[in-house]
Amino acid sequence: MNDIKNILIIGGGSSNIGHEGEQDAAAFQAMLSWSRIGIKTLLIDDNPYSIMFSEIPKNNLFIKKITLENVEAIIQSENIDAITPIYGQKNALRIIKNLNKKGVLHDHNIKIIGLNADNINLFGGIKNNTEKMAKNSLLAGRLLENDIPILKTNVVSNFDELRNSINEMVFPIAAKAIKASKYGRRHIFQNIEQLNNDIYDLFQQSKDNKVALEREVSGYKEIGIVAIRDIDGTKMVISSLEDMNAVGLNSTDSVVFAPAQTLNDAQLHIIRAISFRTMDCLGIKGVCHIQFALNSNNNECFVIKVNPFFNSQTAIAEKATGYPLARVVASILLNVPISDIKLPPRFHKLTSILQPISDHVTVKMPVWPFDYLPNAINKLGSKAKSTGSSIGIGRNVEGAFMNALRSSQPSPKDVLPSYSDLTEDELINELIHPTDIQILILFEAVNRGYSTSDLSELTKIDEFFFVIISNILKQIKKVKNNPLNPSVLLNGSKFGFGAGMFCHYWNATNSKINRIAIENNIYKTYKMIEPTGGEFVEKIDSFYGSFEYESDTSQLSNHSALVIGKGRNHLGPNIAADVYTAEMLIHLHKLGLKTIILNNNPNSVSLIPSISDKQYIEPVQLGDILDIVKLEKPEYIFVPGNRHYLIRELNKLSNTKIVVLPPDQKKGSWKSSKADFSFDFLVSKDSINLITSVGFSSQDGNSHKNIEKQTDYFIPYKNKSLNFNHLLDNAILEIKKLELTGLIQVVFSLNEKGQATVSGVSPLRITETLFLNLATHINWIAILMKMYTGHFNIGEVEKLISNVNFNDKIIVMQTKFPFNSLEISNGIKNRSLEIGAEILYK
Amino acid sequence: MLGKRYLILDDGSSFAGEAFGDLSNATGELVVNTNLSNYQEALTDPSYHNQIITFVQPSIGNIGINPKSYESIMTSAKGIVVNEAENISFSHLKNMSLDSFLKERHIPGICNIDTRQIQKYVRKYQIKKASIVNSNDEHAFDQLQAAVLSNQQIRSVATSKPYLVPGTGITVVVVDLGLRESIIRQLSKLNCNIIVVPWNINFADIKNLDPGGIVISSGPGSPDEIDPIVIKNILAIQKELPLLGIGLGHELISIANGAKVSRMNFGTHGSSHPVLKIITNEIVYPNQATDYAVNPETIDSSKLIITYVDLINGTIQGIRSRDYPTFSVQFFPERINDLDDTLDIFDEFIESIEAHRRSINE
Repeated sequence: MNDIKNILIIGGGSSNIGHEGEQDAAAFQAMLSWSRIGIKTLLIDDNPYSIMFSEIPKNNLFIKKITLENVEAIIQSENIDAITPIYGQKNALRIIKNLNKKGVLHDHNIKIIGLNADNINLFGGIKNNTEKMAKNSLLAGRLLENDIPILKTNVVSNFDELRNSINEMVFPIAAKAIKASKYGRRHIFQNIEQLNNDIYDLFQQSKDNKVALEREVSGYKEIGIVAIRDIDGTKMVISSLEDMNAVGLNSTDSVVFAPAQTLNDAQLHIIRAISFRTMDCLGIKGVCHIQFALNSNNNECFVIKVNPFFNSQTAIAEKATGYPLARVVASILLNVPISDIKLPPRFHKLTSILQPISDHVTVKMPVWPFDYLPNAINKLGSKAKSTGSSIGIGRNVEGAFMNALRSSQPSPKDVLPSYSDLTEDELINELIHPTDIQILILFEAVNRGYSTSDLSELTKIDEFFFVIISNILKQIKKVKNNPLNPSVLLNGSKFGFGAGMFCHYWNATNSKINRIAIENNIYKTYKMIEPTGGEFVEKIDSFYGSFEYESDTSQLSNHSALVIGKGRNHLGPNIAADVYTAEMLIHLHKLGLKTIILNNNPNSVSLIPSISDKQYIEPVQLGDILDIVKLEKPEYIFVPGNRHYLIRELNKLSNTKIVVLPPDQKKGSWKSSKADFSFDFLVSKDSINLITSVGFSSQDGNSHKNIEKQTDYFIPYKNKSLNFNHLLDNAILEIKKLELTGLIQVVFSLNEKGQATVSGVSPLRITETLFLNLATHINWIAILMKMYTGHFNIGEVEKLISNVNFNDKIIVMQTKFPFNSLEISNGIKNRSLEIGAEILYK
Repeated sequence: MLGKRYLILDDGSSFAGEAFGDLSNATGELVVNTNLSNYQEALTDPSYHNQIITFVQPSIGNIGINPKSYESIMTSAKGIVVNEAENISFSHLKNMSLDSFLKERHIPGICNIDTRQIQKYVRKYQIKKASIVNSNDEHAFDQLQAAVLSNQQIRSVATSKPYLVPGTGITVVVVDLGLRESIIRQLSKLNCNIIVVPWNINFADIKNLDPGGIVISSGPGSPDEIDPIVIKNILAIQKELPLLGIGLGHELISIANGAKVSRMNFGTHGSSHPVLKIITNEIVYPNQATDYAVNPETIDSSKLIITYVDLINGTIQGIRSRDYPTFSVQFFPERINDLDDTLDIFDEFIESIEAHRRSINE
């Protein structure tokens, strides 16, 4: 593969449910390792919240809609050597498959990397065509040929066909009418008599008189395997992942444990072996996530999903083990055998070839959008609904579970909401038909004394998890009953209880709890997240908290900046905030500070190891932050503006400069909620500089021009009937009234006569900051970092601004909403409900 | 409430934890097992005889004790050291958790130990022996220093009487030095008619059973401590019958062919090491549990070919005789299922038996 000089990455497009920053994070690391050996990375994407956009040279970036035509155009104009779909979801697979089919790749002598070119046609199957999928897609055929157990679908159109295929079927069977007039529901049949009785009705429901029959496996354990395979066929499991929920509930929406907790050695080896065989027969050369349904009573298992690309499951595997997955895969793509991969010096030289093992547990907790969308249906099922997740890592299962749970909850106080007011019927209904509050319901049920085996029967969740919940509840009870008791403080802390919980139940202040801890020699230690289980000396920079004697780390530097990450993603400018955070880290490091990130979103780009000098995967809660501060004694702490409680508490710290960034949106001043356009400024203590004008528009007829509904943005805003110089003076006057610095937006509205007046002044929003970066080709976050660390030079900024040239183009950012994914028909397109965005040029 | 216990090491260090399992004191070789899913298999594997096993897996006992996960019905380990012990039973009577199992088998455990710290410490200071005790006083350390571990390990764990595991296929004699049931499971899957014999059987008695081939099983301890009759048997067998050695069996076959075996600084107990199959350049991740390794310099290359090498510590993981249908592996090629990447060793063994038969008939 020495002939590869450049690689085109098909990006993932706008973020959405099930798609956050994880593929960007992997692509970013690939780009770094490729550039080190002189390989150029090219990218097509239209997601403005991509860390790649600011780091990739402009000539190599194609900000375009990710379509077959646009990719083909790039191929025509650039001399591409290789193309890869593994950083861009199923859409990327589909595009490359079609390019291959059209002969474009062959004509231009372009190699597909990540998958065997002969097998690309197996993936990216036709969407929404039940019949073709049912007739055993190409992928299913290939798997069956290789004796890989899958859930085969049989399509029958009459009783004769049913009789012929019934011998190879195992009950229970799920049957579904194909092309049903109404939305085709799955019917479960326990035996042939039931099926015979009812199948006629299903034939009737189908327009084609066809019924798809499939082995019913809901209730089986759902297990994921993340594995890699190289050019020599060497295969390695990075991590097993166990869904707490059984098959039937989408894995994205389930609590996930890494590694698997309730499988025995034999079961793990069966699915490991099937995973390897699957990768072999599909010719995968890179990363693969394979999902299994496992009957733990008889070890029967089925492959239910094969994803030969980076996704949120590969992200969990990477974060959980500390194995440098993205880096290793970047080399595998270039045909470097796993045994020859060179890693940065912080890794032991044998790390890439050791099969990862963890001496800790990682738990992923889903995060829901329903607080923002009261009308959405919060019942969980086969379709993913969570908008994000948080992970907790711990030296025991309970600790990892509670860290993850605390991080997923909106309360800053570490106390779990109670559902003790539910009636017995309501509780049982919630247990059988889980919703977004499932975890708390399980706590409530265990608390009410339901037996762990009954609960397991009712919910199809392995009894082990109820034992864990029961252990946690017993410990919480001890906390409640033993105020200020040091041994309870220690044991509770080992179970991942936050400082806030002790404050709450013991009616004590943080400093009081802290005093008990110090007096009794109780303190948090940090363990390295590394993939050898302590067998080798690693110098990896990622850590999680434990309350054990030995710590794997010490203060990084006496000249450091602690950046508090965004944590979980829900709706709103979350992914943008994460990229913003990553940019802060990159630029603080460039300014000579040692950077420390605290975050717990497994899909986060701000946790990319090479972006910061040290990473803590811990809850973003006050007690956990103070523990880190105690060890690191940072010079600066950067706190997101929406964490008011944290800001208030952290401001009490002496010797540390607190910088609120991304800024607090509430610091603005508003006269009206009407908005047509705005001016964006950079404001320092002694300067105010206009950067550009920004126009707003709405996606669903917003005659009132309400700013909340202005979800499309365009730069520059042009309006010949306005006197911009006059407006500029007005804007500057308004800015001077407030004590704001940083990027400031002055919003104007137009009256019926077309005259503009100031509606309000506020710090520039996170999403619009990234948009501004793209439009002006200036990294404004870099400038903010200089401003707040004493490196600001107004002359330099003025020069940059004077060079901004839009070349008569208008750049547009369109907000995307998750309403389709959540099956909401009339969602209101408000800024606060955004899940992502797209960029286009006019 | 759990009582306080100590793990004391032969360099004088001590780690406080809590009691679980049996409450007796125990002394043994300290080893660290890095597998994340086989506590029951390790506890019942005779290879761990005389050893105190520290588990890297942070939470042990999650799946209780499972009737299909035994490597032998006996337990051989001296004790276990764990971070978190879960007291869970999923057996039909709900009475067999790890804790109750250990109590029944009189095996002491110590939990709430920072096993990561132990793993790092053991590697740094090359700890060999340890005790699990109620008090970490001078007396306990004196006893630890003075403790002499039995060198009659095979007598303690291996069968003293032959027995049959019937099958319809080729007859295979397994010489039991501390057999793992997985070996029997695999041979059974290949329909072998298996006769397990005691380690001190005479070659003449083996021959009288008219086997197609012989397996020398894995087992505990140092190969140098073993009665010379086993080596004598190996020398006789390899001239006449296909021979497969596993673990301790591999070490003994190597010794019989002139190589020397020495104790490693750190044993390997886990599945994370890549092992290169030299002939195909394939890398596999087998289960390993060994504290000894064949010294590469002592291999007589006119007699033996090296077939497998551990890419992490460079140890020899497999050899083959140039002259006879004899081969052996240091790692455990038998996982409990039939899909595993190292399993072809058993297929190879059966093939060599068939080839041997043909050559005799010709």
